[in-house]
Amino acid sequence: MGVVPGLPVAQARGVLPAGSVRIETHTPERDAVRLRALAVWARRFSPLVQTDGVDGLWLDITGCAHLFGGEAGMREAVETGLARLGMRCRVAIADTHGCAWAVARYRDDPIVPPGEQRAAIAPLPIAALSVDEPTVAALAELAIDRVEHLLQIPRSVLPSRFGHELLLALDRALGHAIEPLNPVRPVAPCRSERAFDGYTTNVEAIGLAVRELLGDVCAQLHGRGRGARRLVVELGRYELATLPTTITTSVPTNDAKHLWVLARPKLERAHLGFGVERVAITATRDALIVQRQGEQWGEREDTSKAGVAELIDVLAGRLGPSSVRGAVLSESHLPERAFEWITPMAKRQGVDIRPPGERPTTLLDPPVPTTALALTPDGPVHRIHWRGEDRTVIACAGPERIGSEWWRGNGSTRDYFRVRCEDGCCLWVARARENGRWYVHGVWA
Amino acid sequence: MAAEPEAGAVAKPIGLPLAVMAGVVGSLVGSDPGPGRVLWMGRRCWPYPPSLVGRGGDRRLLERSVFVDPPTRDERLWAMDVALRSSAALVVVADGAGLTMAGSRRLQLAAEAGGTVGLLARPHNERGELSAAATRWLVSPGPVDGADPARPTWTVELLRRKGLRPIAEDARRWAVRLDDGTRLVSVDAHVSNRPAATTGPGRWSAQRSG
Repeated sequence: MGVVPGLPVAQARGVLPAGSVRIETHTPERDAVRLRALAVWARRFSPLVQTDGVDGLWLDITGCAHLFGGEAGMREAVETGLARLGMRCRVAIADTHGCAWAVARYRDDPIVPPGEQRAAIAPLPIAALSVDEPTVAALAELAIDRVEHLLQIPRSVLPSRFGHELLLALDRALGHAIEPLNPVRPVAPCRSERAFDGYTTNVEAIGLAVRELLGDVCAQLHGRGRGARRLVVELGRYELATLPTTITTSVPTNDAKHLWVLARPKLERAHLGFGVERVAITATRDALIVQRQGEQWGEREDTSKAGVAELIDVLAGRLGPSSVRGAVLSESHLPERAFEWITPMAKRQGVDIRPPGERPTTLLDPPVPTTALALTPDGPVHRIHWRGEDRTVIACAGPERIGSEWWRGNGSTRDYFRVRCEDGCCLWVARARENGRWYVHGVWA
Repeated sequence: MAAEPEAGAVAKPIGLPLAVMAGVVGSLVGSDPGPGRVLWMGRRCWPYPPSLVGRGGDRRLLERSVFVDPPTRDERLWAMDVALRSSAALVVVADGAGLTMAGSRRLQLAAEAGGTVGLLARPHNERGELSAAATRWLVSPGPVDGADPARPTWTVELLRRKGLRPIAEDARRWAVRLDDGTRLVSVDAHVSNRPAATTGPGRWSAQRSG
C-alpha cells in the first residue's frame, strides 16, 4: 500500500482509501507483552527462545533443525507459522546470534553455512553489527561504511577510538565472544491433582477432594497475586474419557469457598460412570487481582463489591452466562439501538452519552403496525387502534422526530407521539415519515 | 420484605406494572449509595433500559441493574431465592405469575434473611391467590395529570399488609407518576416539588427492608 513506518499520518491518509485509517497511540509496553507471548509460541521450534530487542526473536536451534527437514525446512516452517498468525517475518540462520541478526535485517539470502559468518557480514553496512547511532556516524566520517572496512583495521586501535562495544559486537558476530541466551520460561498454570486409592463413586469423597484441591490452587494463585477467571475440574473416570467441567467467574478470584459454591452444582450433575480415580484442577485463565489498600471508613464497600461478583457468578453458573446481563446506553437516536447488552461486571463505557427523552418502560420489538386518525398530516393523534379496539386519545404530546443516522443510508425518519388514551393506557406511537404508516413502538406499563 | 404490586385496573388490566416498580426501585437506589444491585428477573420483567435513565441524566439505576433471564418457573424461584438472600442485591424485581403460596413463603423468608426488598408482579387474575408477601398493592391507570396530560400516571392501592388492620378506603390509595430521576412522586407533587415519600409506597418498602 506504500505505508511504511515513519510515514506522516497525513500522507498515510492520502495513500489509503477513505475510512480505512485508524489511528492509535504506540504502546511499547503492550508490544513487549505480545512479543513475549510470541516467544512462548515460538517454543514449538526450539526450547530456547529469547525476545530480541523490540522486534525480534532469537532461537537457539542447535539440534532442532533436522526435525523440520534441515535449516531450509525450519525457516519455511517459521515463516508459514507466523503467516498463519497474520505476521510477516524475516528469518536468518547462522552460527552466531550477531551474524543472524545482521543477515536477517541486511541481506536477502537467509541461511549462512557453518563457519562462514565472516564472509556473510563483510559486505554489510556497519549498522548490521547492531551498534549505536553515534558509532555508525563516527565510522562513516572515516569512510568506514561496511564491515569489511572495519575488518581491515587492526583490532588494537578500535577500542581506544570507538569503545569496547564495537569490538564486542564484531567478535560476537564472528563467534569469537560468547553471547548468553536467556530463554523465556512460560508460566505454568496453577494446577493441583489428587489420585484416589481405587475407583470411587462416593460424591462426598469427590467433593471433599475438589474442595481441598480448590484450596490448594487458590493458595498457588494467591502466591502469584492472581485470581482465577476460569478453572477446569477434571474427573479421571474408569474406562471413560476424562470429564472436564469448566467454572468461569466474572472477576478474578482466589476465594476457594466461592469457587466451591460454583463447582458443587456442576459436580452433582456430573456423570461419574463406574467411578472416579483421579481429580485435577487447573486454573486455565487467571488475571491479576488489583489489591487496593483498605480505607479506614470505606472497607465495607469493597467486601460487598466482591459479593456482587459472587452473586452474578452463582446466577450465571446455573442459568448460563447470556442469561445475566447489564445494559449501557449506546450512541444512537433510534430507540431499538439506543442501548447495548454487556456482561454485568464489564467496565462501563459511554458514560457521556446524552440520555434520551421520555422513553416507554417496554419497547415493542418489532413495532406493531396500527391505524390512527390525525386531523392534520403532522398533527396530534385523535383516535388509535390498539389491542383490538379503537381508543379515543385524550392527550397527545409530540412529535419527537427521530431519524436513523445518515451513514446508515436508508434515511427513515419517524415522528413519535406520547399518547394517553381514554382508558388510561399510555402508548408511544410512531408515524413513518416516508409512507405515513402508524406504529405502536412502546408502552408505559 | 416482599411487596407484591398486582397488575390490574378498574377498567382494563395493564401488563406488568414495570413503571411503578421502576419508580419504587429508583427511590430505593437514590437513597442507597452502596454497590447493591437491582435484579430484574424474567424477560417479561425487563424494562426497556433507556427508560431507567432519568431525563435528568441520572444513570445510577441503569448502572446498578442486572437483567436475569431464568428459563423456567422453577429456575426463577431459585434465582430469586439466591438473590434475596444475598447482601449484594438491593432489590429483586420479578415476574411472579403462577407463584404458589409455598413459593411466596420461601421468598418472604429469603427476603427477611437477606434484608433485601423483593417486588413481585402478579397478573390481575391471580388477585385471589394466597401470598405470604408483607404487602400487596393494586396498580391501575391513574388520573390525568394537569401539568402534562399525556404523561402516564398510576393509582396504587394498598390491598393488604400483614399484621395490620384494614385502613380506610381513601387513605390507602395514591396517584403517582415518575419524576425526572425515575423516582415515584405523587401526581400533584409538581406544585410543591415535594416527593411523595411520606405517604407513597417507596418509603413503605424501604422502611420494612431495614
